[in-house]
Amino acid sequence: MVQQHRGEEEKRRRFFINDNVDILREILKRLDGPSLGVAACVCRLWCSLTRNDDSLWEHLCFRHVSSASVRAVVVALGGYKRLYMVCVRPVLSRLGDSERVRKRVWTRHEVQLSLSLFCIDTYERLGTGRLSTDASASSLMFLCNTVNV
Amino acid sequence: QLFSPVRNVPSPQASSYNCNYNYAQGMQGQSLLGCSPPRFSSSQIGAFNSSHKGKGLSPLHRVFNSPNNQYMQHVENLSLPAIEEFLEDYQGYSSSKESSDIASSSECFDLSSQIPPMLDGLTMPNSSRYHDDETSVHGAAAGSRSSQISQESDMYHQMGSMASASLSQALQQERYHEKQQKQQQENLMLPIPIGIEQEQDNGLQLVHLLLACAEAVAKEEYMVARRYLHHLNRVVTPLGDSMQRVAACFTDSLSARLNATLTPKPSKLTPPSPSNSLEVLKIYQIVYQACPYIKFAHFTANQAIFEAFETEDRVHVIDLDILQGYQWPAFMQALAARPSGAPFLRITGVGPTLDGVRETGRCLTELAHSLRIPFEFHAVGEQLEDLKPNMLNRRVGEALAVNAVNRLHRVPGSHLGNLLSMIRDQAPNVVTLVEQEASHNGPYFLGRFLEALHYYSAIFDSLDATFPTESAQRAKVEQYIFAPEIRNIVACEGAARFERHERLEKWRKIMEGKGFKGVALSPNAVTQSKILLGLYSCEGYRLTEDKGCLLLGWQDRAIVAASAWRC
Repeated sequence: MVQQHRGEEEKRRRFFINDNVDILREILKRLDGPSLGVAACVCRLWCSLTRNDDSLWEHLCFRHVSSASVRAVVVALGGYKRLYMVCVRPVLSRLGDSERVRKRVWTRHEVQLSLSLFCIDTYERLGTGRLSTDASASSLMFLCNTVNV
Repeated sequence: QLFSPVRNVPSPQASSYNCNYNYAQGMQGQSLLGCSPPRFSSSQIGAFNSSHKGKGLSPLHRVFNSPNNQYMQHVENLSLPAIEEFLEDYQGYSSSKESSDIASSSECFDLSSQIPPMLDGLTMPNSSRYHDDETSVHGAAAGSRSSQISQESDMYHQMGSMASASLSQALQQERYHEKQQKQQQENLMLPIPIGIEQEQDNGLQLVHLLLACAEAVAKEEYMVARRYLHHLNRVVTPLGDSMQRVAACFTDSLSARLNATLTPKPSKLTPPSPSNSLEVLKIYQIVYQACPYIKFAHFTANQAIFEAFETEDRVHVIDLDILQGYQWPAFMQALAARPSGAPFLRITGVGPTLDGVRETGRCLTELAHSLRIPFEFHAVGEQLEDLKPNMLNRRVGEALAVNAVNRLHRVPGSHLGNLLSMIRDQAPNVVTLVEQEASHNGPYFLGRFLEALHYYSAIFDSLDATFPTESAQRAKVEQYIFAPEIRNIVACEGAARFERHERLEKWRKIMEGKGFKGVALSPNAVTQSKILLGLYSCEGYRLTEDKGCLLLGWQDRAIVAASAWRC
């Protein structure tokens, strides 16, 4: 009897989150931006997940605007992770909202504007070879704190 | 022929700053012409009055509203007597006509209290009555002119009591006194630049020197102008604060103008342009990235076009100056995100060189491809004056939009009418027009100079606030984008002057004269612009609306005006 209990306990203790990537993904999806960044530093599996799985980042951007057309546009322009890093995060900070607030409601105009800025950024990178500007040049730089050149 | 627009009454703002630099436009015999006051809807007035205090005002504004110089409310008009004289030569200006219309603005009339022309006015009133800190410099120079000072004081008192009396009398008196002093004027030494630390006084001094010099140039008193330029060159520096930098640009332009008039053979006024066009592109990119002006222009125009294309399946946009095509990615994205799917999009880009336009077209095609938008690009490498209807490639069954951002002002007046008629004949659904909001096309040099000084002071001030201090990028922007504009406006005449900015009112008249009707920009455009401006870290940008058109400005000076038209 005691042995059976111990077996069950061992079975319970041997549950290891990294063996269950689907559950891991579901959990990571619910994190806010900074936490997701921290999660990326935990181990190789988590790092590769946060880096490669774009759907983890989708929930940070415009969760309330889930139309297929928006998703197609974002994917075409570089994906949700890039959208978050390059556009949503600076916009949020400028609008005065903390990144930790996941449940922010985006107005339609804010969404449109962010997507437009994101698109311009992508376009600039398309033309980068032509202009041979450095990769950090971006029309979204105004969203970052100005650095003395 | 494009003239400066005429305004009847100064804006109802009580601020002295806006009421001044008025001069009569003889053409239509109307009285006052405000150089600087933008027209804002009355709801904005309260906001502006409160913004008069504190830093971040345009340098000229700060200079004129500094609390030290209460007399400034008078002296800022000190250009007026001289200008009046100057204009008298030109058009038989009648004071009586002016008086009835000026009546509303009492501050303008304090000007009629005799202010001697700038030469004297610079130091004398300072020392005589109003300055709290008595600087001995003034005292020394005042020795021979104390009689003048007492004269002025008397006149001030007189004028003060007369302010309510008939204005024409006051003006006549003023002219009389002025003529008295005019003889002494010729022999006077130029005022010694004051070494006061106060920024406002330095700025004031710069402005006065610039205006005096410009006036001398306008009157073709070249020796006097040279002396002023000499002083200016000692005082201005392209490395100082925004007022000094703007003054440096204007000083260079005045020198250039002087040289152009005096050298017998026409010398090409080539501004210092960067060696390769790549540099120019990069600098344009800097302005595009850091300041909201261009983004505002693009986004507002895009919104108007997008709404006009609401239910269309095949759309065609003609961009009259496509440059790098930065306007169109956002537009394409909006089309792609449409619930009804993206329409078939054609863009016809017009630019000075065919290769450049084709390159832009390649990038746009690539973007459209990744956004899955059916897309076609057509390049036209012609000057707008040479544009023919068949180049526009219009097809039946498509909705057409014509986009003209900051380009139409360069089209010579004689060709502009034809161009607009041609555009109208293409039956576009919407024509979007965004232009710099300034009146830089007046026939009189001095008026243009004043207007440009106000306008570019505001712009330089906004650059100062937007870029970090001592920024090399800002210096590049100022040197390669705005300084050439200033130079062109100040130093060039005739066909060589292509920066012919006009105000929104003037564009309205032009468009309506060609059969276009204004389309009010939607609340969506307003909201979008507000959010866009909210993303910028510095506080001075202001959005205003004027009869359905949007204007973006810095503090209280409108910089860019956007409007939409249909026919």
